[in-house]
Amino acid sequence: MEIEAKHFKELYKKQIVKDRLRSNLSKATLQAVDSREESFKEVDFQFLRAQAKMIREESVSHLNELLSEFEDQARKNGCNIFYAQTPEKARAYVLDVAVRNNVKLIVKSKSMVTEEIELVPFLSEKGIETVETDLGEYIVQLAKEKPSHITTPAIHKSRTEIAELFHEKIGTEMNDDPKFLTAEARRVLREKFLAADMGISGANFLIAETGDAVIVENEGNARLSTSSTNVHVVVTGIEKVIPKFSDLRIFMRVLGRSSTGQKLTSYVSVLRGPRTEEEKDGPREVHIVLLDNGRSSLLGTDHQEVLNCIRCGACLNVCPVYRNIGGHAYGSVYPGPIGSLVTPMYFGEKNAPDLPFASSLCGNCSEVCPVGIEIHHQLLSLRHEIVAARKSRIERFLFKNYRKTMLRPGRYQMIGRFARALSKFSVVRRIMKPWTDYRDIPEFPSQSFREIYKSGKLN
Amino acid sequence: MEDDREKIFGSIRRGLRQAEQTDAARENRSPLKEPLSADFQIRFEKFNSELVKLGGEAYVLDDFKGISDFLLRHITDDAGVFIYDEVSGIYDSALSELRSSRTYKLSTDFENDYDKRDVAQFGSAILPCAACIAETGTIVLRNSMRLPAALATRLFVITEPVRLMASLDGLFTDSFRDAGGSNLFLVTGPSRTADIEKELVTGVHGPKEVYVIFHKE
Amino acid sequence: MAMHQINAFMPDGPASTHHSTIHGKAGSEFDLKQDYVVGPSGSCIAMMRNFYPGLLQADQRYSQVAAEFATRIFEFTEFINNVVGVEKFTGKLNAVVSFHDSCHGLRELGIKQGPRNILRRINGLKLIELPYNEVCCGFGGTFAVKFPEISVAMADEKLKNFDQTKADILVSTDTSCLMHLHGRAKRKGFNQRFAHIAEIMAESIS
Repeated sequence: MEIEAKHFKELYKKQIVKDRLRSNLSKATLQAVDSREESFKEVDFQFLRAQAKMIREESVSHLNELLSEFEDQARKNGCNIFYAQTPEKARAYVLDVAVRNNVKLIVKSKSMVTEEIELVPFLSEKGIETVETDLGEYIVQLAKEKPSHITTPAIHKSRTEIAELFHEKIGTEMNDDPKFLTAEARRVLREKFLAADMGISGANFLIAETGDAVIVENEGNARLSTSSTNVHVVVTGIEKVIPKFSDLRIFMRVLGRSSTGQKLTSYVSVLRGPRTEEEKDGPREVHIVLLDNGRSSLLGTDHQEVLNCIRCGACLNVCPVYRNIGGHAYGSVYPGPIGSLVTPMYFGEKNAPDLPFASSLCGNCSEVCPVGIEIHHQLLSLRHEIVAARKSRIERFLFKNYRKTMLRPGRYQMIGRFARALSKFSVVRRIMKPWTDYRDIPEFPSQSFREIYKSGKLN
Repeated sequence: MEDDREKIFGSIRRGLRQAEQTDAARENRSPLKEPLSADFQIRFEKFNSELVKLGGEAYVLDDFKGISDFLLRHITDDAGVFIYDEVSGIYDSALSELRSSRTYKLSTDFENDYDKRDVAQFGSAILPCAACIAETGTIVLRNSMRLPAALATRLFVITEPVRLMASLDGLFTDSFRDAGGSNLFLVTGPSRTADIEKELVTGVHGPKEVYVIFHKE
Repeated sequence: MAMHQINAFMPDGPASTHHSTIHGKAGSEFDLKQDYVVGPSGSCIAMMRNFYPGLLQADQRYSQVAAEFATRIFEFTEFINNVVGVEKFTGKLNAVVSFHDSCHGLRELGIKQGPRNILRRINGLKLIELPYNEVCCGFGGTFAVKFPEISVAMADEKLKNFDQTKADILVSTDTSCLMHLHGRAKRKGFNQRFAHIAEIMAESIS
């Protein structure tokens, strides 16, 4: 599958000139950063993070046993389990479930994995109306765009743009008050929930010992997507499994805080299969689709820790690169720092050759990651692999000479002495253009520190 | 349709052969910097302060008359009231005036496979809860009907002080794990979103108002 | 340095932070036998302290040397605070400054209070903290030339925040951040000064 991330260099240049986008993003992400910080004051973040990291490491390094346990428990609870190695296979299974149940309308809540496998366009193409019910996702679906953030999909859109969109697509009056717009979406989507005959959701965690699927959300749409129809399909990744129910005391405390600065998200559904005999509603049929799509190939490699990710979005909010170019620039459903790792890993390095380089490696992402992924070190190690496999001729030339220079003090000092003269050569000037087009070059002092030092003036 | 279980497990096993297996050293201590006292009044104050921040409200009422007045004051529309049978049993006299003056339905009035539109019309739902969490202002629901709590505009929970737990550490335990039922539903304040320019709006799909009443005899 | 009985020594070779140059280095920083090796950049020190030992793990000749070397290298303000003793330094300089926390100093080496402790010992100097002072300035090594538009957009954010402080000098512990910010500031017509903390210290005692 070819994805847009391949063209990152063109994409980000288109986004970075949009001043309104950048100011929307800056406001939204900095607000998220501030509320995240505030929300962690009451708890011991370092303790929670160390625990969360250890539990995720345990989960991933025992993935085969835990998945088997999850599968057994979930089957006992009455769920159907389906393993899909590829997006195609996962899509085909969901379609099959829908067709067998004669489904006409699907309500769907947020799930990054369904974005990854492009499930909604696929089902719509097959004639099954599939409605995104998370407000942000709904906005993005109406605009025929893709989400630009893991947890705030429409973060790139201003209220005016959304008012215009609603006016055009669902006939609401022109009013850009978020309260009004949200009420209008509630009205339209409520009708969809009542008419729908199947629901699709993701899962934030799968609990091995109980077979539970845990879904966190704020709007109530996931609750309705998982409970208001006879058929519920969970689409998620194989890495989402955690060992114990009691591990939720750690994850529930870090997830909401990391993504939106909430001590706990408004709703948490812990779902243990279809309705029991005592229950009067809830799905009669539950399917859990477990997608691999490159995840298992990370096991045993230096990148295994990337599978610890719980998709909170904190690394996007703190990332100054994300803040300036937005999610769409990454050309992938997974943007930001974690996206720059996951995209090449799931879709192939050839599909995203620039993403691991699109970072100043400031390390803010690693600092906030609630499961302790060393995101910026992972980026560095991906760069290493990519450079080892392929290096531009000019880069190779430069690094070769850099190496020679660094190993020979005489040559280093000579180059330093002639730097100003060297900058007159057009070839040198051309190489320096990406610097000099945007910034002045420092004035070279008449004497280097080494020369001053040697002259003894310092003493 | 045949799935890819064996292929995926093969790939996982191949990968894990190279990997170091680690077991988490779980520490049971609470991550809260200041653990909450067992005193109900202190827990209640914490619970209420968390809930108020989110746009909900909690009350301690000590007689049925008080509960009755509270409900009548807050349920003024004629969109109908859904009342859970458990609440209706315990608080019969607290609900009698409400029942005589508002349209209502009890959960026992609903058959299996009821039409979900019949629940969507309710303006208010009165429910019992399995627990409340002071740390976060959360109510824990484990009821035989899922939809009323998700569809009503106003949510009322009537419960007893013993249900109020200090923190999430008390909830995510083996006893809750093994309590049965197909689902556990945690509700922390009204339904909300900040999807439009990060501006907080309540009542997106679920309830716009959440009230918790502790009945203290 | 001379005042405090510390013998300084300037090596001939440069310190390299690119892994391609580490292997087979002879006559390089590893051969420095001084008790301490000090550098004016958190980024370079982080490379040598945190990354060399890992990169050279499999190298018979250098793995031990790198590990030992990592214990002797110091970022300049670390050296002043932890080795020399910051209380031995006082200065005087009338200036209003703001301080930029360089990412690698901050996050790889944990340098946060050290530079501020030094600045506080300069009489007449007023420090005004930058809003969002832990956000990257956008330099990022090759990032600055690979994605210059993003790099300078980040610099512009930083400069905007710096401008708001009304300070005259932006002080930092990392020369590369300063080169980048100063270069951008000049291009955008900002008149403030950008200085390494060592320069400020030198001026305050001269």
